[in-house]
Amino acid sequence: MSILGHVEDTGDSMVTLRVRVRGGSSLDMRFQVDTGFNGAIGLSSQAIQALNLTEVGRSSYVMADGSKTRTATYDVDIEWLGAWRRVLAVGTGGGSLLGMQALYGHRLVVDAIPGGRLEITPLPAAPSESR
Amino acid sequence: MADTSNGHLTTDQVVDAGEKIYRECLRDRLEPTHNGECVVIEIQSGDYEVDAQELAALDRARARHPKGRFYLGRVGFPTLYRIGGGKLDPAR
Repeated sequence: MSILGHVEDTGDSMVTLRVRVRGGSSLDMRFQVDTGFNGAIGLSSQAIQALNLTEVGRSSYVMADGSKTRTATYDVDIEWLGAWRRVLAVGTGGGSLLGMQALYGHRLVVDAIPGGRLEITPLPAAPSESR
Repeated sequence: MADTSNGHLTTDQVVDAGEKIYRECLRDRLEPTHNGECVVIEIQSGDYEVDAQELAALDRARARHPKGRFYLGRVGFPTLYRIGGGKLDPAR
């Protein structure tokens, strides 16, 4: 079993995942795979509005240029390899992102050409997640 | 601790309060033993939970304070997350 995506003409690696308000409604959303993001998922303002998410806390992240951004966090489920998986999401203010915390324990293969294939598959065994 | 009696708080207010509590009350207690773990601080009481798993820390904090206002940070680091390859400089 795997999660499939593709590379856009812009070079962005995209996957579509179903996101669910915990115990509530769900929507299919496009995520850019961002290996420079150490969280699980980031949600755009539009995604947060569309799901009518209620924040569970406030936090912050640092961008590549060193600037800090403050934002809300959300408790959501994503459909992952056929099952619902609970993750902590952060509002990005930009696009929706799939980060390394979600990819932990998986193999990510990208054919880095326009229209190229992206595939996420679980590794047979992975050590416990730690930072 | 933060006065949250007036209802809605902005993100800046919650983050400012959480960072202040961390800086003044928790940093010396948690660093370096818990470096890299997530800290969830309820900003009105100053109560906190630490766990390598963010949702585990959040669940315990919410169980203690069902109507709490929570700041999420990372012990030993200035922010919980980095995006776009930004370096998570340990200096806070």
